[in-house]
Amino acid sequence: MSKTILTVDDSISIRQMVAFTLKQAGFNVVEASDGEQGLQVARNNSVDLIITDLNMPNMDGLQMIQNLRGDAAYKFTPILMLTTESDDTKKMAGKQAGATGWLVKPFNPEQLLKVINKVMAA
Amino acid sequence: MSVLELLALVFVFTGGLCSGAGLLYMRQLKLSSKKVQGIKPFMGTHIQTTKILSDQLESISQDIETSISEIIQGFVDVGHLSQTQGNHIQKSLNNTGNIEHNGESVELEVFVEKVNSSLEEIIQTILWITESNAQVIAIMDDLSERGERINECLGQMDSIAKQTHLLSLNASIEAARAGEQGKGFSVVADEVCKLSNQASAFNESIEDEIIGIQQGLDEVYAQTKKMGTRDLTPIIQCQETVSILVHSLMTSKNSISTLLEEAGSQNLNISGSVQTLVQKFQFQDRTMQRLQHISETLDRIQKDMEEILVCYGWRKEHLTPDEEFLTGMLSGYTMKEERSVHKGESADTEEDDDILFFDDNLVAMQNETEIFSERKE
Repeated sequence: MSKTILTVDDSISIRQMVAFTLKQAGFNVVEASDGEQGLQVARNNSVDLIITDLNMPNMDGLQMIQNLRGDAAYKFTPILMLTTESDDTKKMAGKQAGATGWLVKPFNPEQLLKVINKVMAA
Repeated sequence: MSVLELLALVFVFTGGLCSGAGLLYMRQLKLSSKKVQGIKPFMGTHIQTTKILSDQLESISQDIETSISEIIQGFVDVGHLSQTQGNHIQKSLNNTGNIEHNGESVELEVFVEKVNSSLEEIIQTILWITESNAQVIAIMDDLSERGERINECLGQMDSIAKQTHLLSLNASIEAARAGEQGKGFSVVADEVCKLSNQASAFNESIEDEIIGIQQGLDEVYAQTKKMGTRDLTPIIQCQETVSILVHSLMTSKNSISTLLEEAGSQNLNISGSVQTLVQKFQFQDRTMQRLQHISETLDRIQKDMEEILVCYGWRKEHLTPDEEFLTGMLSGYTMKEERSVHKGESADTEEDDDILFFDDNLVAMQNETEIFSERKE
């Protein structure tokens, strides 16, 4: 059975692009437009990996990660940040919140898939 | 001087100083206020302008996002179609080389080899039958000759029987002439006569049988000769025709396979290009964020200006913006969306006036169309 990945981004086009890349690689994809919705979708589904943006309305990526890490089901689930933010302080904040990795947009599909396979195998 | 008097003196002194400084400050403020009164209309205008610019940026962002999202969806659909097409091509490619034989899928090459070897076997069998026929004909010729020789033998046997019969008759005559002494010999002569008659009858029946056999052999001979002399050219030509057919089948299969392989690789290229194109649209997210940052800065400038208003005790609603400036901005727009955002209306509130006719007849027709659509509703 194929793995399910949750993509959280307030930009529809980014969600579409990520979903397109992942579906072509054989993954199931579920989407959310902000951290709050991301939490709901993650809790209503069994998600194997999460790719999230940082700055989003209602709840940002860091807060969503902190909340998810409190759930037993998502304590060790790989969570990747996919954001335009490249500031080191923000990256450190992401690490502290419990993110598995940090990818700076624009993303390269091959690189994204490589990273996903890497963190899923770990 | 008492303590109370001293305290009163300090109060008067500090109070005088404070009131003096306050009066001086008030005078300066009055002077500055006069100067800043001049910027009051600009403040009003530019608070509104920054708000408009911020709204315009937001509207642009939404516009870009909607359009890019639709374009991406289009490309995603193309990508899916391309993937489906690729699967079909691969399926066709897998099936092109195979043929259904006895309920099993057999590779065309194996099938062709089987057809060729079966044909070769058939031809070899026909040739073998033809050769055997020739041998049968030779044997039949020999049998025919032997039959003739048997006939000759039968003729000789017949003449022996006849001579024996004649001899028995003569012996009977001689026995009668010898009288009583020849009686015994007469019995022998009679028996020999009977034997010769029997031999003659036996001879005749053998001859009849041999004639029957010979007639049968003649028929077999005729049929075998007919088979032996049959022309094998059409059969050999048939083998050649089937061979050519199978060869052209293989050639067309190979060319179809090549075409399908090319289509498959082109399909992969299409899929790759679609993927690359889709990824290129990431600029939209980056652009939106940059526009958002500009918009946020504009919002901060607006707030700062509003704070300045508070400092001077001006109320925002009492400011009179430079209408000329704002009208100039409005008249500089070319799109109705820009005008709507400027006026603080939603972009779709304006009536759709995309089509405008200057010919009265056309205007009438347009009105009719509108009436028709209303009726339809």
